[in-house]
Amino acid sequence: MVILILVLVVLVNLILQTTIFPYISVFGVEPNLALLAVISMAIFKGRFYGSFLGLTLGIIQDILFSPVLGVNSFILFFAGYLVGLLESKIIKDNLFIPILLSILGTIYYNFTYYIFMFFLSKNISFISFTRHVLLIETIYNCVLAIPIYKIFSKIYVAPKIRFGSK
Amino acid sequence: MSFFKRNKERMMVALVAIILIILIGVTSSERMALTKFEIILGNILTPIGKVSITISERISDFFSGIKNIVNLKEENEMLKKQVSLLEEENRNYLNIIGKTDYLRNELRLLENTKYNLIEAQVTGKEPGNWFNRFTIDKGLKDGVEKGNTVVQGIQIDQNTVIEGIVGRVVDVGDNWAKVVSIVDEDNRIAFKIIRTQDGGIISGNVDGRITGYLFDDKADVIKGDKLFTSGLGGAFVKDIYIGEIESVISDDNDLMKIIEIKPAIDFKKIYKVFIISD
Repeated sequence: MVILILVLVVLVNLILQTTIFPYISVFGVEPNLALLAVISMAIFKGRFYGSFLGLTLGIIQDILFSPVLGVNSFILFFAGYLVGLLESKIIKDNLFIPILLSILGTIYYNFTYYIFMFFLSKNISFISFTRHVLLIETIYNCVLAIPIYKIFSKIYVAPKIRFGSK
Repeated sequence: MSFFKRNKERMMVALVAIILIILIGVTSSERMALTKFEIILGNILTPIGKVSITISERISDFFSGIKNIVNLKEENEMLKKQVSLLEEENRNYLNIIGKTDYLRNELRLLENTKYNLIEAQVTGKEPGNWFNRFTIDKGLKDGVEKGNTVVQGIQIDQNTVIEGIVGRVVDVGDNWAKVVSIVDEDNRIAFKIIRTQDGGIISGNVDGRITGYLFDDKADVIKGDKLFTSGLGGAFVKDIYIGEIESVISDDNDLMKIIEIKPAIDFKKIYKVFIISD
């Protein structure tokens, strides 16, 4: 069951992210669906599944698109692991948690990406990136975090027991 | 051994991290070809991407169609005017060609140096905002090679007119290939200005603009000059339209002329591209 959901999440994420999302970008900025899926997964299923999903999604993204393998896998793996460490300590009903985590996650993702690009000697100005892209992406991500978190909570939280008719 | 047992999980995490960092280090230098595993994965995922990108293309076309209905009438009138203007211009050119043998010879030369074009469909775009890359559905089997130039064109009566440059093939699988577009930071293109034959280099920016500089700081450039690839360095095929200059900023301190370019192609809407195979 868990494996089936994992495969499904990977496939749906890949299709949405690579084909449809580029066309619904705001100011030329796309949301990072993979990161949100990893964060939601880690909140519900803990560090093992979170980091595993991050690793799989990252490796597929790396192989399909980037000439350098491992950057996305590294970042998403640790995103899943670090969020997963909090799993037993947070209240899952609170919508504030995924929003906060998605903001932190987006900043973490892009900052780590920048560090990797710096060591791979790609000359990219981080200040201009922050001003033009990071700000919008953070807002977009934290808006999108809510529906994605809801979908995951539908899958993983057992339905409440009801007595009698409503 | 008890240390390893107690910290089993941490060891695992550290191991994965080290493996990934080694992987980054190994693959960051120029590679000759893709590994078998990558090729197989690409072969499986390419058809899936092809189907879903076709669907999303339809959807976005539908919505933009609705948006355009309002502007249709205005646009129609404007286009009619433009057609008559172009017809006149065309007649003038035909006149010149008819008159001069020299020009006729040059035209024949141009006709003979046709590129060998391979048509391909875009199957997916890289997620994230750092780079501008995509995959296409043609690969080694169709004759695509690493380093080929990718252009966009229109097909008119079996003749393909090249509209502008899109990017470069960086990796090839059996039936798929990775393309890095020219708005990517990673790509640098040597260009020349068609009016004055001045040369320079442009590259993409993280915020989607294309900027560059001229080799000669005293070069005479103005807004609206047309840029073509010069083929210097051999990374791109020569004489392909890039775009026109949007603004010129001269920097007296750096002794450089910085230009900003408006590309000929809308990079948000690429569905079909052509690959120039040598």
